[in-house]
Amino acid sequence: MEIYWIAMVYCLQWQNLLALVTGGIYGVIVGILPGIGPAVGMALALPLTLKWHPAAALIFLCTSYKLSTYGGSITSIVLNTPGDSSNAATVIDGFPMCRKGEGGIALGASCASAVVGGLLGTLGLIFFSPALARFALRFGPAEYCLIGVFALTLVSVAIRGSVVRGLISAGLGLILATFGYDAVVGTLRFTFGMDFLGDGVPVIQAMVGLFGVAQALELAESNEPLSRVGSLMGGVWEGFKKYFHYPYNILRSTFIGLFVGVVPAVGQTISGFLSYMEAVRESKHPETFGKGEIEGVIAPETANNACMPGDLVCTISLGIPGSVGAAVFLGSMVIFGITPGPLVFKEHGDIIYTLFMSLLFAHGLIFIIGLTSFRYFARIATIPNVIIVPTILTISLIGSYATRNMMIDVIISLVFGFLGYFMNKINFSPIPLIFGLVIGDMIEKNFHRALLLSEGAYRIFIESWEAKLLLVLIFLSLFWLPLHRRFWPIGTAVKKILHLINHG
Amino acid sequence: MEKKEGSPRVHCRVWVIALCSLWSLGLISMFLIEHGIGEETYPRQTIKVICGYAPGGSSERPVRLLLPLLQKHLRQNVMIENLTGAGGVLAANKVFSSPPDGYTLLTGQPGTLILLEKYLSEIVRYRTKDLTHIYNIAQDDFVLLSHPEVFQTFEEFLGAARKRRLRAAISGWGTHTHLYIVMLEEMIGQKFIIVPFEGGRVSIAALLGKHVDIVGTFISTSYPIIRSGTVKPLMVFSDRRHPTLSQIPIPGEMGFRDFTPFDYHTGILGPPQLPGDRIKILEGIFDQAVKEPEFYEKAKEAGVDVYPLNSKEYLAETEKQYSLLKKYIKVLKGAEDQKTPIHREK
Repeated sequence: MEIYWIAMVYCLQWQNLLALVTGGIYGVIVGILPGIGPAVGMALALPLTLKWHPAAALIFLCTSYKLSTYGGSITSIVLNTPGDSSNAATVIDGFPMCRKGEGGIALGASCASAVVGGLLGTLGLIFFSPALARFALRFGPAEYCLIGVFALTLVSVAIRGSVVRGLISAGLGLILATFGYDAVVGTLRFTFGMDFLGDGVPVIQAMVGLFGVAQALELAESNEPLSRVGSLMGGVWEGFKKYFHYPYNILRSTFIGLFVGVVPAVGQTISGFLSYMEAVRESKHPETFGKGEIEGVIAPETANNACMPGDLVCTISLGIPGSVGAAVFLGSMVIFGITPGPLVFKEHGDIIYTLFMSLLFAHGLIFIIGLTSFRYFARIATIPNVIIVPTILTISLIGSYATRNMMIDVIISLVFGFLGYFMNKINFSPIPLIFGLVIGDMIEKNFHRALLLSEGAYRIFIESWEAKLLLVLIFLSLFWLPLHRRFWPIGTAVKKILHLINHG
Repeated sequence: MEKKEGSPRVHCRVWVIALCSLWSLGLISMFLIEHGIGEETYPRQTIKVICGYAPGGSSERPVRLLLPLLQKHLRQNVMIENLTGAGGVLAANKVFSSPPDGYTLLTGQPGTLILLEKYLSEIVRYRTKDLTHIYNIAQDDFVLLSHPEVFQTFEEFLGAARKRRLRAAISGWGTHTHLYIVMLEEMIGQKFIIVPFEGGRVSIAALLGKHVDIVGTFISTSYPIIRSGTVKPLMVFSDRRHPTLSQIPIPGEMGFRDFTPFDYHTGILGPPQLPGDRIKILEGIFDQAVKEPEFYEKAKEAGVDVYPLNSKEYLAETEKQYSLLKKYIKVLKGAEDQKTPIHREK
């Protein structure tokens, strides 16, 4: 316990506090700009921090990483444009809440999600890092493939409106996921000789187009501002209080986020979608989702914010980053002479524990920023279209360009923007498309790898207990409703008979 | 009413005009200084070093550590731009087609670029030999790793390889790690089940979870985990013992005398036909910066093996890699027949 007190005192030194606050504000700004994301944000800030003390520099970078997830939720709710792919699921219910004039409540719920989900995830990181890291390593290619399949089975749950159209959209996403270089087989697919498709369809640029550009195009032909109500109902404090009415959702989403974060190479995007889809499945009123249901904001945002500390578990304990953002953070640690791995707690315990403490304080910063700035963000939804449309387009396309400094990325975003606009016109949701694009690659490559490891034997998918559990979850996900409907009358009859027997 | 000379209104106007002129002059001067117009010397503006991999990775680490010293010696800004895509092909294509003015450079590994020329020929628009080789900063050695509960020594590994097909993780098809694993197959006369992952660290995670038996990766990627004892290094693929892993044998000592390492040098390259005077300036600056004690200290802490080579030596190493690759192409082609089981003809 002594080390935690020492770390807390160290964290409260003015240099480290200043690094925390400036990193937090920088992170929120990075998160708000669509397409930039925590990885690019940290890479841009890294040269500025090279001359700082390692503790202050890492606090700055880690806090910016943390708060960029929260910042991304703001644009998801207010502008229907996720700041990063991890905030894509928040759009589904966050933006409809804003359209109903409940933007303040949605922002409050998102702020509470960031604080509570992040705190729980950080406590998991601090106290259970080694155990969580050992658990994460049990997941191999077969298990990764099954996680992806399980997530895919939940897509139909999240589709609102026509299921067939939603599945077509998801199928299109899966097809787009096959573009690019297949590292397992060593061939290029569907690049048409264009080098920018060598890594496949870029997810960030596609997302910016499908949401940001498409939204701008829709607003351009409409007289109504983003908020159809034209005024704000409820504030962030109301949203904050409402958050605690859903404890089961909070705990489930935290667990999903932490689990996904700990397992390397799965990512925050999948944690957000998984958590959202589980919330829909377990809700007594699933028909309210997609129309501005607060649980649809709580679930993905809590999971995202628990996922980020989960990402750091393997990064710090083993030196194995769980995501691109974690990889940049790991590289930064190495540059400052702190080598992540099993020995880091022994050799640089003072800096690592200070980092953990600063992560805890960062949640207080989220609370303050959320409370003080929500009004300004929420009012964006009432700005006239003649101002908001060029603003959305400019910010979105700058974000698209900033990732790789390539004009072709802007063109990709524009192409997907028109695709998204057209899809919305004919009632095809773009959300399953993005989900298919993200998850398709993970499923295919790990399926391939698993078969390589087993020399073609499919039994690898039922060998470990983790794989068996995932198969059960997939079965339940696919067949629970039909089974429940079929056997419910029998179950009810059995209960009635037992009741009669017990009570004469 | 006529304005008299020396009246307050005239004074005010004169002051405003004077201030505006000074302000404009200042702006113009800043612009001229920024773009070095009027200066004859190079560099006159920011030098951009493009890296084909994500920020924070081992590929850009040597240059990232050198940045402050380069800026000090060059007296000009140097920035790293990460342009990821297709394993580094996008970055190399961009630099290859950039104007040869010395303001757009590439940090990369010529060995990797040569392999990409072969494996991604559809989208490659450069020739590694034609890129201007300016300076090599660091080098890295390939190491074979195992889980301590699986193999403790190379001999144990060899014995097991002769009894069954071991599962070997690499960081991608057509990469250096793939080439070295295939070379190892040739050396010991046994085939592995080669399983590509997305990068060295993910393949190490598979090893720690015992999903694979061995991993081929680089020392810079795996050194922290080697040091902790969580993985066991079996062999370092070099012609000399590694300074930090001096207890680990090399192929020559284990009877594999024909082995020649396919180098993994990280250095600075430029577009083709970069003028000789600019090459000399850059070479001199990099040489000064690399030889600073401050850089050596930071490089040692970060696991970077400093290996300075000047422009001619660097190019000579690359030409050697081309001839080595011709030797290993047959071996690589043989490995291509070992596709996934679902692709094999029954």
